[in-house]
Parts: sequence; C-alpha cells; structure tokens
Amino acid sequence: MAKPPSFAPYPRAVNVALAMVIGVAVVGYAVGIRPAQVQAIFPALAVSPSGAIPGQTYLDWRQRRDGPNAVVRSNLGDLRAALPAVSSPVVRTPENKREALETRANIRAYEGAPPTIPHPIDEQNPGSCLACHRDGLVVEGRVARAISHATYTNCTQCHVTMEPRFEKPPAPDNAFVGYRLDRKREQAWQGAPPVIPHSVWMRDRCESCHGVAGLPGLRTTHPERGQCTQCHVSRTEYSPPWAAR
Amino acid sequence: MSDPVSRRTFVRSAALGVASAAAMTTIHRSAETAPPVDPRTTMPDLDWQKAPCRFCGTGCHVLVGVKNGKVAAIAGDPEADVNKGLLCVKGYHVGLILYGADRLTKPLLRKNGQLVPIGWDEALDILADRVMKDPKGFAFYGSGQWTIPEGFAAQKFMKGGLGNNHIDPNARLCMASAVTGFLSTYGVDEPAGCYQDLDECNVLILWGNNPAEMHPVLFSRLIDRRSRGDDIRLIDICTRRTRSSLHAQNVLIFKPHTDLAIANGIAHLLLERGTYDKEFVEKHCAFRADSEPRELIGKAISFEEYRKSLEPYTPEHVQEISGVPAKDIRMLADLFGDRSLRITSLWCMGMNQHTQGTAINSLVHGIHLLSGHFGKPGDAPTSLTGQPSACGTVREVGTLSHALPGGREVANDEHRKQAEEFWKLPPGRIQKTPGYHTIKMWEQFCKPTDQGGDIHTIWVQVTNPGQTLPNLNKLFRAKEKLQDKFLVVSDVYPTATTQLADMILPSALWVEKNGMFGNSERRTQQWFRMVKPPGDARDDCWQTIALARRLYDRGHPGMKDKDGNFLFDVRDSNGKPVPVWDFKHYYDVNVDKHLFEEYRLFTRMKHKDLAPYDEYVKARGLRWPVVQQADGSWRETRFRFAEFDDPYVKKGQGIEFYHSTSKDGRAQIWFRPYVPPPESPSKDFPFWLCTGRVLEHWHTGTMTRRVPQLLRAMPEAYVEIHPDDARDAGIHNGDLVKISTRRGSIDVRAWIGGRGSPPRGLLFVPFFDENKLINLVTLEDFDFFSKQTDYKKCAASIARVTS
Repeated sequence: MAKPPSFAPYPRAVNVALAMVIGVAVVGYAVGIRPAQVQAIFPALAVSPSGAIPGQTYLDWRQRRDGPNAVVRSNLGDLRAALPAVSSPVVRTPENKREALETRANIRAYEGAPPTIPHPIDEQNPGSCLACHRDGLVVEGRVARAISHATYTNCTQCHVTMEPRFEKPPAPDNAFVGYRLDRKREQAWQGAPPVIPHSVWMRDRCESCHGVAGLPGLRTTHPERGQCTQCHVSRTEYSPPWAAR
Repeated sequence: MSDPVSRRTFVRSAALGVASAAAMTTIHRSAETAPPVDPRTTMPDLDWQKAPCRFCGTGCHVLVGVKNGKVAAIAGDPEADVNKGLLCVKGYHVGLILYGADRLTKPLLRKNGQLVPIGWDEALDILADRVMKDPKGFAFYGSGQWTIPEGFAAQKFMKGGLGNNHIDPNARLCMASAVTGFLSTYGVDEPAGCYQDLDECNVLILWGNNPAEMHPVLFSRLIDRRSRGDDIRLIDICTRRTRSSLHAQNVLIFKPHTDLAIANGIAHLLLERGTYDKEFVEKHCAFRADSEPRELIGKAISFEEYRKSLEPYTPEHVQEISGVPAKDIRMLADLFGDRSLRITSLWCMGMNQHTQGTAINSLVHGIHLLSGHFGKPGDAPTSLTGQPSACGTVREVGTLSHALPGGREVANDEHRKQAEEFWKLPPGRIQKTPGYHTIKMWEQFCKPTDQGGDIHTIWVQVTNPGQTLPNLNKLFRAKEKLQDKFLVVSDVYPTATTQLADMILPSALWVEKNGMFGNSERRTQQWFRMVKPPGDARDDCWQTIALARRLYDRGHPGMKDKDGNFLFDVRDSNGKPVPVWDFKHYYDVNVDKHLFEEYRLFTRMKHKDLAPYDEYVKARGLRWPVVQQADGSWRETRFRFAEFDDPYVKKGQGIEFYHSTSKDGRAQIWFRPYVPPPESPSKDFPFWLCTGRVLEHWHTGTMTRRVPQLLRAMPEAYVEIHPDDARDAGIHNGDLVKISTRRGSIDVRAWIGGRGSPPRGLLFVPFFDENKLINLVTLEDFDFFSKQTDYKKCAASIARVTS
C-alpha cells in the first residue's frame, strides 16, 4: 500500500534547493572571479579602430609563461622518474667506462675546470638551478646530477651554458690542450679499495656522479654504502691550509 | 594585479627564496667541506706556479699547471687570501687565452693597405723614425693591464726620457673619477678598507654595481656567508635589474644620473634627524663645496652651510628627481643612522663612468664619514676596479698625463724635482704642463694636422681603443683618412684597433712574461714567466726599452741620465751592464725586479710603501703600506687611517687622515648638488642607453672570445629592452634592431627577458663584441675634474630592422 509521502520528499527538495544554491554560489563565485583571472592572463585586449582584436604576439607569451599554462602546469615531482633501485645491478665494461669518461671530459676544458651546462638556463634566476640539481633527479631519461658541493650559491659564476639564447657561433680556433688525469687504477693489491684518482675538493657528494643515477661507467657497485671515504682515499695528500710551504 | 612585471618579480623572488632555503638546508654537509685542495698534490706531473688572474681588478690568484712548455690546467690558489681557492668562469679558463689560433707572432707593417711581416729591427727603426721626426707629437696610450714594471718603464721613457707628458691609459675611462673622489675626500688615492669588509659587513649597498657578473669571486665571498647562516642585508641601487639584484632584499631602481640626489637625500635625513655620528664628524671631518673657479680640492664651508645646502633634498623631492620612493630613501637613512650595523658600499663603473663622477664618488664617501660608518672592519666605502692593475700601475705608478709615480704631479715643482732625482735626470728634464688626457689625445690624433691635430703618432700597448673609446667615428675611425698619422699597436690578437694600425707589434701575454699587478684592495702581486711566447712575440716592457735604446743610439739626448748612462741601465750582480734591449739577453737578469726596486723609491711620500721585490715572490700579494718590522719582517696593512692597523696613524688618534687636504688630519665631507646630465632622452631619441660588461667576457673580448667555453656561452652582443617597450616598438625576442644616437647607429638583436631587466625607457648593450661596436654611438662628454667619460647614459632610439 502506497503510503502518503512522508517527510522524505520534503528534505529531498530542501537538499536539491540547497544543492542548487550552493551550485549557483560556486558557479557564480567561479564566474565572478574568472574575469579577474582572465585579465591576469590576457590584460586589456586593445581593440583597433577597425574593431579587430589584435593577435597575441609570442612576446606576450614569453612574459606570461606561467599564465595560461598555470592550470595545466606539471608538477616536476610527478614527472620525476624513479631512481634505479640501489640493488639494481651495475654493469661495468671498458666501453661504458671510456664513454663515461669522454662524456665527462667533453664538458670541461681540463681536469679541474668547472663543467659547462648542456642545456639552456633561466638567465634571470641562477638560483633556480637548485630546483633540479639540489638533490638530483631523472626526468625522461635525462639526469640532473645533484650538486656536488653546497656552500656556493652563485651557480653561474663558474658554470656557463653551452646553449645560448640565439644561434651557436662557430667555436673559435684554440690550440689549448687541457690536462687530463692519468686514470690508471691505483690500488694496493687486487681487491684493495681503489684510490680516488681526482681531487675531491668541491666534490663532497660522491653519489652525484657515482650514485645510482650516474653514468653506467662511473657507477659504484655498492651504492648502499654511504660512507665512501671510509675505504677510498684521495690521491691528494693531507694539506691543511696552515701547513707551511 | 595584471602587471606582468610585478608577478614575474614575485615568481622569481619566490623561486629564489626556495633556492636559498634549499641552499640553507644543505649547510650541515658543507660546514665540514674540506679546505681547498692544492692541485700540486693531485696533479703532481704538472709544473705549478702562482700568478694573479689576467682579467679583472679583484686580483684572484690562480695556480698555473704547465706541461711540455704549455699551460694545461688552472686551479684557484688555495693559499690566496682574495679568492681562497675559488675562481669565476673566466678565471678557470684563463689558460686558454694563450692559445687562440690567430695569435700575432710577427711584427706587421701596412704597405699599400696590406699587412706584411717585417723584422723587429725594421719595426723599431720605423718607430724611432716617427719619434725623432717630432718627439712632442708622439703619444703613448696604455691601460690598467700594463704590469707595474711595464707602466713604470713607459712612464720613465715618456716623461723622464722624451720630456713628453702625452701618456695616458684607458683607465682614464674606467676609474679616473674614483681617483678624484678619493683625492678630494682624503687627499690620497685608493680605498682605506679591504676585502675583509665583505666578510664582516651586515649591510652591503651596491651603487650601480653588478658584482655577481663583474667581480663574481667578491660577490660569492659575501653571498656565501648566507649559507653559513650570516644575516646580510643586500641593497641594490641600480638603473636596471641584474644578477646581483636577484640576491638583494631591496632593489631601488633610479632614473639614470640621479644618484647624486639619492646620496644627498640620505645626508639630509641624517642631519635632520640628528642621527649622524657627531663625535666622528667633530673629530675627523671638515666640509667642502665647489670653489670658483672649480678646483679639485674645492673650498671649505661650515657645517651650517653644509646643512643649508642639503635642505632641499627631502625624501619627497628626491623621489621626484630619482624615482626612488621616499620610504626607501628613509630606509637608507635608517640604516646609515644605525651605529650598530656595519655598512659597506661597493661601486665601480656606475659611479665612475658619469659626467658627475667626482661628485657622486665624494658624496658616497661623505655619507659614510657623516654616519661614522668608516674605519672599522665591515664599515667602508669601497670602489672596485675593472682591470688587473688599474690601481698598481695607473694609479700608483701614475701613467696618466698629469701624474708622476707615487702620487706625484707634473705640475708640482717639488714633485718633478724628486722624480728627476730618483731617476738621476738632469734638472728640468720633466715638463711642467700636463699632457693630453685620453679624449684629447685621440681628438688631436684624429684631427688633420693642418687643423691643429698635433699628435702624429700613437703607440698603443695592452688595450683596444678601437673598441672602447666613446664616439668611435670621431675619436678613432676618423684616423683612417689621415695619411700622415701613424698608429702603432702592440697586441696579442687582431682587434678593432689593429684594423686601423699602420704597424702591429706582437706581444707576450700574461705568464709568457714576468709581471706584477696591483688589485683593488692595494695588494701588489708578482709572477714569473712560465711559458715562452709564440713566434717573435715579445714583452711590452722590452719593446719600450728597445725603442729607448734605438733612440739612444741615434743620439736622442733624453735617453741618457745625468751621468751619461742609458735611461734603462740594468746591471748584473757583478755590476756589469746587461744589454737588455737585445731580446736574447732580456731574461739574463730580472728586469722587472730592477725596475720595481727603482720604483719603490717613489712610494714613501704618500705612505704607499712597497716591500722589496723578493717579498712579493714569497707572498700571494701584499697590501700597502708594507712596513718593515723590528725583526726585519714586512707587515702589510689591511685598514688604512685606522690606528688599530695602520702604523702611520699617530697613537691615540683612533682615526687619522694623514694626507688631509685641509692639513689637519680631517677628511672632507662634500656637498655637491644634483645637476642634470648633458644628454637626456628626447622626442627623437626617447631611450636611455646604458653599456657594460657580462660575466663571460672581459672588456672587449679580445681574449675571452678566443675561449670556446666562454664564446659559446655568450656569443654576441644584444640589447636588453623592457617587454612593454618592445611591444610598443613591434620588437620580438631575437629581432634585429637598430640603435641610433646623435653619433651613429648599430644593429643588434633584442633579448627580452635576457641577462638583465631594464625598466621602461632604458636599453642596455654590452660592449664586448667587436662585430657590434656599441661605442660607435656613445657619448664623449666627460667629468670636469677626472676627464672620465660616461658610457652609462646617452639618448638613443630603437627600431626594428626590416629586411
């Protein structure tokens, strides 16, 4: 037997009404603020005397690079690929080692020179380097190595980009031959921990080159051990600044 | 809210904040960062020696690693106090400048428009012919890149030998106004403090200065303190945002040329509020204003007159002139009025390349004196230099048309007499009338002889006036049509100057010769030759001595001293003369040491005492006055005029300005009014044009453009323009645009959102690119006292080049 409608429809109507009110409020709010947003992105489109609306120049996009893209802007963290697991196997071959050393040599003038930057940079914000290079990350197969030293904050003082804004000039003809390290493995006996062949000054984070994201030819076989200098010493002799020469 | 600039600024500062925070979080690792490692231990198969860097006035020391007679590596010198093992990108690549493929290796003579190789003998004969024809019309043009001995030899050759004062350096266009600022304030040139001020200040004010790019090692020395937890307030007073602004809490953008009003506004508030340092001022200062006729030391005025003169400079009035908000002028006055702070001011070309350069220099010194922010570590007005030996050679050796070594002047009878004694010259050899300063020298050279252009030959060493002189069409290019004028250029690479040279002499570069430099903090540095120069390239100093000898052989009376000996008489340890004019024998003795020991005699008068040469061999530079101690050792001075460190301050004085122009131990606080610039934007030329350097290239790029890493990072000159100005002019990023002034025009690409961000109405173009000579359009007006020109502002127009 059909019971007469009790209280139930009434509250439903109230719910619907409330939902509509809230909906209108939300939409109204959104609509209300949209012009402000739109204006922030496309300020005052000037209308020419003919009535035509001028097109936006690329210049406008340049200065609003955070504008229209802000809603779809990706979070770097979401793009970041997972680092290889610490336990992932390391395959070291003479070829990948040579390749790694060549890659390393190609971005610096000589052993000890600051490496150059292989990508364009934000000229106006040198500090932004740290967004990727502070801890290092892997995106789309490209590796941003973690900064291997930390006290220096004016990155572009020493590191300059090889991808300038406009076209690349032909390289000047220069006969300088940069010093390259003798990379002969130095160890006391077969199985002893090899000596670090390079200076460790400003390279106090071994994992930035030798860690899991490092080039295969430079990766350590035991990244799980964090205390590298426990076993590996630099070829460098101990030379405190106060030692008289 | 739709202002893109403010939002971008916000985004940028937010990002910077994140970055700084990121840097801060890592300090715990870096706090234990090992001290710099000596490359001599990690790369023992190289031969390592010390040398100051070839580039700017910071004066970093590098270690140069040599293998098989060639430079193969560079390292920051861990023993150097200036840079403590760190360098900038130019310093790391300084070794590569020796090996550009187009090094000049043979003397070249222009015959029928073609440069043909000749021998050194013929070259010296040609040069000697030009001098003998008319010694008075010969001029020598050098720079702050002359080593101290090179500058001293050139100075002695010209003023002591030829009796000709037409010797001037490009440093005239670089720091002459800093010199006049120091002289008119303290009676003696060069900063009182040193780089330690950067370690101890808690407020740093940049006056038109961009050290993040121009003196990067000094900037890091300051900024890196933040990562160690120091609280530093950085204030950038500038005409455009730069990389330095990114680190600043306050960026005060002023209308070009109005910095005088800002300085006066600060002084006005210090007086009005009574927050100036009464005790310091009463004990150590006096007041000055311009005299009639105008003279460098001006006339004394009373404190009351000083106060009255400043009255119009209220914060609101200053805002009106400069565009800097009144609240920011008050903020600056708050800081200067606070004695618990340590405030250092830094400046370089922004204040020096200024038609009111002397005025703004003395005003900034004045604020520091008035507020007592002087004479304590961290409390200092400090001017930087752009060349490695602008101080050591130009300012101290005095290779300027009016100067003699050791702070002396040709116009002073007593000073000339002393110089003649030290040089063993017959009395009256040195001429009293100052020679032509840079602009006048080139004007007289580029003017036809029959119209009074009385300079017929200029010998250029270690600089590139064909790119750096202002208004190049008038002051350099005009030479091309004058058949009787002769330009001789000693250089290491072909340059904009050698393009018009009649004869080119190949020079040794940097560690291909012995040398000494003097940096911005009074530090005198020394290095030895490490590699051989290519081909027939030879030391500039040898070139000067060899010409002197050629003239001696031809009987020029000036090339003998009063005893009849050759002007550059150099003897070995047995007292036997060494024919150093013959290059085969030039390194039989250390000519640098010989010249330096002679030069040392000059340095005591102004208390700029230098130690013997061998002390500099051992040290990474020493800051003068270097005074011998009871135990025979030599002690350098970090803080001049301050009793706790300067041995020349009388005990109990605290501070003493012992070269005071008022002869009472006081420094002068100047009043100088704001006066409008000689050229301002107008209807036809609606923009300000500013020029300057960039991080990667040093000066005209003759050296750095040969380094692949530096050229690729910064391949060509560009113009920075505000996005709104670009839009109004229909200019897109990367477009070729024409920049025109009343003097000429050049085409460059527009770079919007590039290295710096100018405000609306201002354009910036760097001057390093020889293919885009911005100095074709710059202004040659100069400061009344210093004769230094203004490369930072003239009126320009910009238009897209339609092809």
